[in-house]
Amino acid sequence: MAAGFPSRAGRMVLDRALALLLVVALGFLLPRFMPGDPVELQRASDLDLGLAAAQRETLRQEMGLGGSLGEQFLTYCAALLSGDLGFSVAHAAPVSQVVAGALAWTSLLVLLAFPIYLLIGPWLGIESGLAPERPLGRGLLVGLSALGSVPPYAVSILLLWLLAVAVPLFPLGGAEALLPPADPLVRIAGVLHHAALPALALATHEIVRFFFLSRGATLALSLRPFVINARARGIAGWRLRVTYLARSLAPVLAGRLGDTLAGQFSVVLFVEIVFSYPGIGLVIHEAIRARDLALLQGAVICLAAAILVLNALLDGLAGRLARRG
Amino acid sequence: MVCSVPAPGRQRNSPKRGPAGRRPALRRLLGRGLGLAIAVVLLVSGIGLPPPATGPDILMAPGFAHPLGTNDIGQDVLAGLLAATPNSIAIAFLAAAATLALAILGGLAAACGGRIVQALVLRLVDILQILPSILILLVVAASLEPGLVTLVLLLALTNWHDDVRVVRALILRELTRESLQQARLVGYGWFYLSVRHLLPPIAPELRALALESVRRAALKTAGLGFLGLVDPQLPTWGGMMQDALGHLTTPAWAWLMLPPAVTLALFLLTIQRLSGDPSGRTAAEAEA
Amino acid sequence: MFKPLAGILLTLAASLALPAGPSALRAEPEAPLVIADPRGDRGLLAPFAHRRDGMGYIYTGFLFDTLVEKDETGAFVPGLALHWQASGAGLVYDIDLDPSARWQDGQPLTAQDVAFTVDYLRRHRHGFVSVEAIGEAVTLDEARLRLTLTRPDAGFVGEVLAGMPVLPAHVYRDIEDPQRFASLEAATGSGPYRLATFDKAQGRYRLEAVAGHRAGPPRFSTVVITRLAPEAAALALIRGEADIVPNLMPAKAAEVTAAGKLVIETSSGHPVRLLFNHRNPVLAPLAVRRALAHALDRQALADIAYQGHAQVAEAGYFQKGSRWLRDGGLPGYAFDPQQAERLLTEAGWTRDAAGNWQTEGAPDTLRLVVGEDMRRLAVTLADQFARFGLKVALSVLEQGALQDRLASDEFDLALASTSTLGDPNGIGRRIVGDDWRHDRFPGDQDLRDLLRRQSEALDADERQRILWQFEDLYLAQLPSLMLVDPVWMTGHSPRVVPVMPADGVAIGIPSPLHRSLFYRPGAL
Repeated sequence: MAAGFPSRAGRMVLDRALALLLVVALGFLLPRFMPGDPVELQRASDLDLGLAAAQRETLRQEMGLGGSLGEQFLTYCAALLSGDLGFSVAHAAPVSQVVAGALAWTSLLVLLAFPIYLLIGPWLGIESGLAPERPLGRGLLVGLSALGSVPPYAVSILLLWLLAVAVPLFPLGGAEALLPPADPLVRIAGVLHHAALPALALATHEIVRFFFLSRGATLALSLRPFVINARARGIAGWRLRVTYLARSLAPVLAGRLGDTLAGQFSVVLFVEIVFSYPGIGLVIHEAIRARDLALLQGAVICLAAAILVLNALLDGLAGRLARRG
Repeated sequence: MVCSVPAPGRQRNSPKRGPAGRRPALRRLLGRGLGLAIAVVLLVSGIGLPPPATGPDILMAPGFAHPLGTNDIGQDVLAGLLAATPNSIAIAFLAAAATLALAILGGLAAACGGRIVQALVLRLVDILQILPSILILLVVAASLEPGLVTLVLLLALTNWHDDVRVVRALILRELTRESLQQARLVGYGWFYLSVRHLLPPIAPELRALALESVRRAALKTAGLGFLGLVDPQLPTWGGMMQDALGHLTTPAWAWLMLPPAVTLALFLLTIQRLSGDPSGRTAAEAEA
Repeated sequence: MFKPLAGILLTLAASLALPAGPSALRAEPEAPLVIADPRGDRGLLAPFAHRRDGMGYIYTGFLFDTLVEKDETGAFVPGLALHWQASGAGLVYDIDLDPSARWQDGQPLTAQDVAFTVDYLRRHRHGFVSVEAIGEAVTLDEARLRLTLTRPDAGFVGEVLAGMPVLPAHVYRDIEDPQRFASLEAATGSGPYRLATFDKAQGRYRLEAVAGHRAGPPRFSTVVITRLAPEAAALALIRGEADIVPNLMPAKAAEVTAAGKLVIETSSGHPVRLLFNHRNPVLAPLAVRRALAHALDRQALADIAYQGHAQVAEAGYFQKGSRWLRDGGLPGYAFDPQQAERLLTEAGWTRDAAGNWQTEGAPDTLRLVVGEDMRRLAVTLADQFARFGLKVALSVLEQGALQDRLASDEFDLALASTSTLGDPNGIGRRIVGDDWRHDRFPGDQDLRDLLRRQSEALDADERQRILWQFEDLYLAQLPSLMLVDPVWMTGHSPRVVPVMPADGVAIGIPSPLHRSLFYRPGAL
């Protein structure tokens, strides 16, 4: 945009603040418009004896459902500002605690997937872009197009079946062995072993994205004089790919990382369900099914905040790379 | 804010001719026409088919009686696929059409509206774009168990903002054309101008956008079905794939998962082909 | 930009390192007993904080003793109370506590704790246990107390004495909001195990044996309960990593037994009932409900929807596993489309040209609403009705939407799976009560009288007789139709022998995770 840097940064912060406010409002409103009586739904079992009117009212108050909608929203925001995300009755724990525990595991998956797709995607993309008409380039294009058309849960299930059932190299699910070993190093190895398949499933989706980005960029770069000159001077192999292409690709790819984060959530959700991985996706899925209002709101807000902050950081990084490049 | 500058990185080239471009035009046309005809017949005849009947043959492997096997309540997978395919395709196309309509409205408002309207629409779009729309989709779908119509609306409402900036840039480009300026001077209304002068020249780009929307809608519908968040009386690919979840360690996953998954993948690939070389769009993005 | 990422990594590393503290490093005398629970996190195992479901209650029962316990056969045996004696026409209960009972933090457990618990449950809703029947609780000395009832209650021992977790007064005295009292301290009980660690994200509990428990040290020094997806849980059992898998996937049973492990099949005691909307005039005539019953092939429902892992339900109210079930059961409504046709015709229904049934003043489809867990059964059922010419519009709904539809009477038929175990006092609530989950049958005076009289019948034989009369009425009037009784499977290794007592664990939970798992032979 034409505006200068400070106002750009200001706008970015403002946009994100507004987006977060929208999430807060939605997180507050949507569950309240869902059908069903949240108080009744807390009685998860038919063994439950039923509620007297007074108990019903108390429970309603405790769940932040007392008073008018406006009052509820004010109470809700005030609590939110003081860092109180509410209490999940179903988990019998503060929402912040449930969410924090789950976010840690999801972050692990996202972090592990990060290098996988950031290396493989662009690498394949460059190869395909450098030789668009040769069998390798065409083959890669067809193969990854096909892969991109397989939904993430199908990829997860295929990976699970291939590498955990047919050839049982990896565990079927979960984040850790049933009985975590006492030795921290062995334990970390176990955690990584459990995270490998879900991370790979998560990365697959992004590999396709970054493949197309890099292939397109490589095709475009191949027409630029500095690359044409370099190739004419006989520069090839790793030097061409790393020094000439990857370096110019970096800002483009970094610019897309922000979108990637938001997009990754929808993939993480499916991956965590298929691998029953105890992350935020599974928590949200369970909260929706169990109609755990407080948890659903808290999880959605935390997740959105995390995505917005990381996305701002990545955008900043992309801007810096672009100016330098 | 300078509003006449198209957003960088969002402008799309008209679809490039992919490998199909080397075939004679007539053959290509015939091929496409035939495919289209088959698709239309399948679609129209199959929308709203109920799920196939249950039966005592449970989890049968593919064989003579059931070419693609049966699921865990004895429904024939092939019959299920024949019922699910038209629904899934119809949802994808209808959702794409609704998305495009909303995006055009948004784009028009953002290009031709007053300063405040423009700023508001663009800001709203920016904000919606950084929101993970899947969250909203999940929460709403969980409460509604959407059927065909609700699902289409829901998909359109969580997707439209992705296309507004592109549509706006295209419209701004057209606005500078002379014929349009003249028509404007004659004093035609905005509706007439849009339909007769503004939209026809950008139809190829809109088509590419719509096809991209079809892909997204198909994937999202399948996702919701997979999570069991679509009306169970509405057979979809996603709903069929959900059947596989309980049988991941038995051979049954293969005949429960693969038929709908392969059909979905083929559908997505076809759409991708229709919209041209998949790298066309991203190359445009990279050039910006 | 990597600072936040590094922060997350550090947090993760810390969270990994912490639970594996000193207790994990100590040498184990034997491998822990591992329960791999496919349904997951049951919340903190404290009486007010655990998830409101049967397994949450059972696991909490490992930590908290009750006054009376049920043995493997379902007979009442001493728990914290060595003796309990009813007198005064069943209105007075004198209770002698085991003087050796102690809290897990070393404090002695006294009659004051029991009186406190009664008082506390009066003020704070427990959900599964009601102390309404108790008029007053008076301590006579440190180890004796007297409970006075407001009315005779045949279910008192089963529902209250054997159901009420006794709370430590010194821990709960100042707690005003026990649902949110979620520190490990809240799980201080008097049971054979104490809660050592609880990892919320992974749904993993580590229970450690209490050395000085009054029934002697339990068999396993450590019990680990952990969430594991259904297939992974079965696999863990096969590989010897887990010892008990409650709710084992039926499809995995053969593989499990082939691996030398054992599978217990128990009748679930949770038969699936077809609920009728009794506020709908179309379903009000008895003949219509009977016709629907005759139109259903219940054996086929069990075979198709449960792949044979279900039995046709007993036609009366009580199901297999209940002590109240009479020998041979009751003859039910056989699959008989002709009879169904006769009944519907009698009720004024006609078939249209396409063979579909219709009646005046009613839409031509019946709305069947079910929860996600009933999807398969509902599809099969709707299919059977369709073949009979009854059009059924099926909605599989998420819990909230389902509750909404049921509570607002926006349905004609529904499926419900609720316990028929436990004390028969619960029947009234399920049949003539106004809970949206249940039958909400208007019920005539005869039915209501029988339900009241059984609750006041202190003589077991008399109670039995009254309950059978009730069953005859239930079958004749069809407040709901018993369809199928699923078989629940529990897989286990030869190390342990899970047992399900008659009428289920404690308040009627159909699970073989009875505490006898942990007791050495003869300790109870």
